[in-house]
Amino acid sequence: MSANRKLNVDIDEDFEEEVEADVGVDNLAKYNSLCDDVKSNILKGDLSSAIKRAVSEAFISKKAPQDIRERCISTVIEAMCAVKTLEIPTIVKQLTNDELDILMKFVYVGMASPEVYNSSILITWHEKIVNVAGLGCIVRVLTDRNTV
Amino acid sequence: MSNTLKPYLNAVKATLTAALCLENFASQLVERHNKPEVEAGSTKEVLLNSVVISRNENEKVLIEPSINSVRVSIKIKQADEIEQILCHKFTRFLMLRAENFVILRKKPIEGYSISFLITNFHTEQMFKHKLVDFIIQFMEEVDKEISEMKLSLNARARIVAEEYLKQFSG
Repeated sequence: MSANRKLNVDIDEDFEEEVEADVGVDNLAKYNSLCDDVKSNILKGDLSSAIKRAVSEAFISKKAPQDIRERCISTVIEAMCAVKTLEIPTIVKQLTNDELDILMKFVYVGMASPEVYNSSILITWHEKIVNVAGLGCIVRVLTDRNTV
Repeated sequence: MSNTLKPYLNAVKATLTAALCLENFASQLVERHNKPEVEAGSTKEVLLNSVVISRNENEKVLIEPSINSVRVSIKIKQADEIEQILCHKFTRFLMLRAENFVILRKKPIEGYSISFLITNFHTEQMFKHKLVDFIIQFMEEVDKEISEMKLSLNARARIVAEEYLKQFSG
């Protein structure tokens, strides 16, 4: 019997491998420079470009080393927490839909660990993003295999 | 308090509305079975990313969506030991009668106080927005309910103690 006869057609066995892209060495450097850029923008007080830079890279795979992943998440959320509540809508309006999707992923990741991050600020961000991007934004967070 | 509760509930409401896009989906492993995929967990590709919405460490909601079912777990605020006991008794009371509540799960997910399981059959029979409203209203009411129970428990304890100690003062 040839190999394709033994395939279980009902179950996609290669499922996980297919969707999770590997994080190469150059990507790690990319994430590090992303963190540095965001940090320096926060220090300069230029929060709008800090947020823009934070959502400029496509995604951080779960396969990335834990410390880099955590560093990225904490930097981005630090930037979000630094923004004043009144300024959130203006910043959200400047972003494209794709950028908002990435930002929403960070919001959910941040809310998943309330002991580390301030949930009430993230909830405010959540509300403002939904106001602009609609429910589709949440659906894309739920369905996208490339999680932050 | 209601000022901070409202945005939290709004976030839960938006996420629930987004997650409740369910369709009929028969089991891929067992013929002629139809199981909530989020519970069966046997086919990974139909499970979606689960999300947590938190107000603080003590109050959060876990939403686990899949193709034909959504599991919603709520962690109810428990500030002290009395509230822990009251919350446990209250949720236990409800969960023992889970059949009557249709979407209530008989056991909560580990780390949460109470869980709901909504399947595509529920969304077919009932209005989706009413289901969402039910959960939101439940979250609103349960806090009130428990703090009311705590107050009446304290009042009752005070009266009992007074009555009991009267015999020694007289």
